[in-house]
Amino acid sequence: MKAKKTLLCLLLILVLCSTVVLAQSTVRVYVNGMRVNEDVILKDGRTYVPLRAVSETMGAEVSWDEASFSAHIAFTEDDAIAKIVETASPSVVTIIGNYIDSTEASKFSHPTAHGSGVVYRSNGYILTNAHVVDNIKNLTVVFNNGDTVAGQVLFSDALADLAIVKVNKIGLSPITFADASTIAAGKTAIAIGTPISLTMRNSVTKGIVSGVGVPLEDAHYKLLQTDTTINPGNSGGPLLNAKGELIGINSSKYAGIGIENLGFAIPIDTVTHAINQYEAYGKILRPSFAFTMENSWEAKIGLPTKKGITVKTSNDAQLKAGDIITTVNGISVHSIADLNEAIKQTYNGTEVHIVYTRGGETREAILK
Amino acid sequence: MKKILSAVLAICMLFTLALPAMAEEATDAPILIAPAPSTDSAPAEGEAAPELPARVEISFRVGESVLKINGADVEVATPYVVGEGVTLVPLRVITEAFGATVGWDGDTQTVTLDYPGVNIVLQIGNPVAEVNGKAQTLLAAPELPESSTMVPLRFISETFGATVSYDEATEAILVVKEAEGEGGTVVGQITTKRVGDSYYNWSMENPTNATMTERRFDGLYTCFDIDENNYFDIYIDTAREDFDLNREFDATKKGLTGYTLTKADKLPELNGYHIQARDKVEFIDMYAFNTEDYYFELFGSYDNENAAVRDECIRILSTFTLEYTTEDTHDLSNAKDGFRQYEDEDHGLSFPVPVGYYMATDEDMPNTVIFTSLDEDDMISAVSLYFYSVSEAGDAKALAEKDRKTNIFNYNEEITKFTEIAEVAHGAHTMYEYGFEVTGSSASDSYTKDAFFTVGDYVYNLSVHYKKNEDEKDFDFEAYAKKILDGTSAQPLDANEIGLIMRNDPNTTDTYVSKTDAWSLTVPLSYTELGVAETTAMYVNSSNGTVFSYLSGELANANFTKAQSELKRVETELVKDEGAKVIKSATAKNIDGKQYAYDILELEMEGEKVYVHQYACPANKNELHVFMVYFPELTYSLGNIGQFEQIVSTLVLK
Repeated sequence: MKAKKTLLCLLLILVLCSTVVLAQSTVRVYVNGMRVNEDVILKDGRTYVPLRAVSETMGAEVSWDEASFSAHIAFTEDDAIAKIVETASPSVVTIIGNYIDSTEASKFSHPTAHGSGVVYRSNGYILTNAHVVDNIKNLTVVFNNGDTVAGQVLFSDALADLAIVKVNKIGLSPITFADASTIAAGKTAIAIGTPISLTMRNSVTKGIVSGVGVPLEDAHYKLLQTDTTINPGNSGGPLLNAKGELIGINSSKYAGIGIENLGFAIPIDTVTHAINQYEAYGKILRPSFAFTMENSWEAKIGLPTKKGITVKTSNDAQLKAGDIITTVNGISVHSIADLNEAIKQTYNGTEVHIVYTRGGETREAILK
Repeated sequence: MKKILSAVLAICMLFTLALPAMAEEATDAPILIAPAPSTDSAPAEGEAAPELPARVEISFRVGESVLKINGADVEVATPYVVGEGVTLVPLRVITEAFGATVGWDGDTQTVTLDYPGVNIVLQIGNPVAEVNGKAQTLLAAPELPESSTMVPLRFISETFGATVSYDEATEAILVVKEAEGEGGTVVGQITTKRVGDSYYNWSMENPTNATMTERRFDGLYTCFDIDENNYFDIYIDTAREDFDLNREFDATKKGLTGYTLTKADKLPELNGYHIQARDKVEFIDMYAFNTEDYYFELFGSYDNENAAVRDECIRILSTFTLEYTTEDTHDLSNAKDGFRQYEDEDHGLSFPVPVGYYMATDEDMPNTVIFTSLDEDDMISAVSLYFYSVSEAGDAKALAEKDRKTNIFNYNEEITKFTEIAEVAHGAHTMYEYGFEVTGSSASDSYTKDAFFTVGDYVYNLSVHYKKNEDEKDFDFEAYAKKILDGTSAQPLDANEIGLIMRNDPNTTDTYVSKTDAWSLTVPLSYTELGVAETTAMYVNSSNGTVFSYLSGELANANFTKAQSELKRVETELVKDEGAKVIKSATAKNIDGKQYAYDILELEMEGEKVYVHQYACPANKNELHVFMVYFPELTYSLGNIGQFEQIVSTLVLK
């Protein structure tokens, strides 16, 4: 009897153990989103991966010393960055075209390189700046392998300075979006752009994220500030983190006046917002206010203040000139940029709930 | 104990092999291997893919089990919605609609979908899929509820290039992938008000009701189809020199016998006319214009089924102007900087061709594309691309060396200068190239650059040949050739698909015997017999243009001096009748130990310089045998002369 019980237990345990091996006898290993195409072994609950394949996918150098029967992996930050660029390059494109208001003579002149773009969907969807594609015709997209294809602008929003271009291609390599919460000042930022050149080599600049949520006087939404050089070749192209994930779209349109090494990118949350709005509504929904606003000087410099936004002129029934707006759809706002960001996060085409102060008194208004 | 242990181990092996899809069930129940999905929805691995449909359309309403796929009603396991509005459909819907190839790994429950340019890997229960090796997170994982593998419709369709639309009101789903437009342009989505061609200078209202089904690479022909019975096209040719408006107008009208004329307007300000005619089944609307540069013919043909369609097309065609308007106009022209980028999508080839060049080869010729330009003097400049199997022709370097050697042998050293072979990086490829220029000849100067490069199993030869006009003193050929080579690219070809491609080089080394009862000659295979008789024969070498004739005649007491006199006689005649120039008057030449009377003359034939050699020798007391050879100036090389004299030495008299 005892023997039989032991046997049954043994069987049970063995069965249970074997069920821990998942419904797959192979485990898939991905490095920064790219599949490692070698056999991976799952043993005793541990994953054993082929050393060389995984290391080289990361960009490391593997050497084997026969004498000491040992493997050496050499991996520096340099290697990692180079690998990131190599992996991301197929997603970065050049966008060129002819200026629309060119004269007769320049009709046959060279197309002007305008900037870069980045593929975000494998079936031909490309992100870039609005200022890159506005006012050009015969828009052409050039990939880093030299493939050239006509492009069509599906969406362009000047306030966000973002545009979506579509090309008739499938099987492209899309860039992976970073989680907005992982972006922080001090982290590595890599900008890849593709200047027009017959050799189609990507130009890469590296720096750090200098600031997150930076408002600029002429920018509608807050921007990502970086000391990575954003030259006109990078405009519209990707700003990546150390994992090769997209953290922003470079915009050479915004420059720090009189200050060096200030580059700006449209942060990934604004990019995602634009894509979602385009897919849902065909454009970015914004409320149209029957009043204008101005920033107080504290707001202009970016200091938190309770008197950030003042209504300048108003044709609105509820708000009057001089009113100070403090909350939009439940979000505290200290500047017009804050307000735009609040709208971006909460507006769904219906109404805007405003809390404001007039003569020291707090009031509410619902604007439609 | 040991025996039992081993028995237990054996049974456990069975367990670990079994897929525990049913693991929850009691352990003493037999463990079944999860059945592979029925072949209905997941074809066995390696099943031949159906031919790819040109246009893909899937339409159905959620909850229905009969879907319309590419026009046919197909019954499948009912699609359903999971998560936040993600529609899952049976795998079969995807394979039938798109023609993608499916692979299934039962061990890992992985589905692989293969489609041109895109490879998707999905796993049952796994929300992470792979597209071309790159991980992508799906909104919902594929499922295997019973025997049909259910996959996310939108994700797969969009990755394959289709658009997916969902009508909330009717709950109808429509997946559409349009047939490929020409040249990869976003056909059917031109949204500007007008379309036109900035190179040929025409524009018209954008025919949004039609699809542009044909657009010739050089822009000389554009066709818009509404359907197979309703279309209009624009045909362009070089301007007609002898175009007489009245005569052409009349001729066209006369040509429309069998039709009733409904409109006939002469448009003298445009040097053209507009004619409409109809019969019971067809309505024709046509225009013709002859401008300084080009001749335009617009032709619309409509069936009489839909008057609205016809009238709209007639209206659009009436907006055609011989002027390229720049505002809100989509430029169809692919001309940039004086070049058009020629693309052969079937062979992954692409290279720039100067605007104004014509495709001289048949589009069906698999490995050769030649573009040429003819100018007023009928001089031919060309850009040509050939490719051959490396296993037959050798690799780029070997082929470059071989070709250069052959050309050096063939070309007249006095007027031709060759460069050495250089390895040069151009855009997409590194090429082995050399060049040669022909200057100081009686024809215009010409420049050639021959470049070779290897891609996979094939070796490519891009040849740029340019004939310079007298007034083109500053033409920079090197820059011109570099531009073309820099813009050339070839994608790797699948040798299994394309097969073996050989060169068809003329055989200049092997010989054959050309003979009659009276004589025989051993001639290289590159020389073809034009006519052979007992006393005369004629041969031509089409690869270098050499023509020679052999004559034998009676000459009493033939000797060497007499032979020379005969040649001198011919010289005088040629000088008198043909305006020949005597380069070397009758002298002697020793070929292979035999003495020949020999002279050299220079002639002009059809505007080109030709060198004539004569070789005469007496034989059999009363016979004179003469060889007369014509060498075109271009190929008047020591190599060719030597080769010919070799033929002379093989004469055997019977």
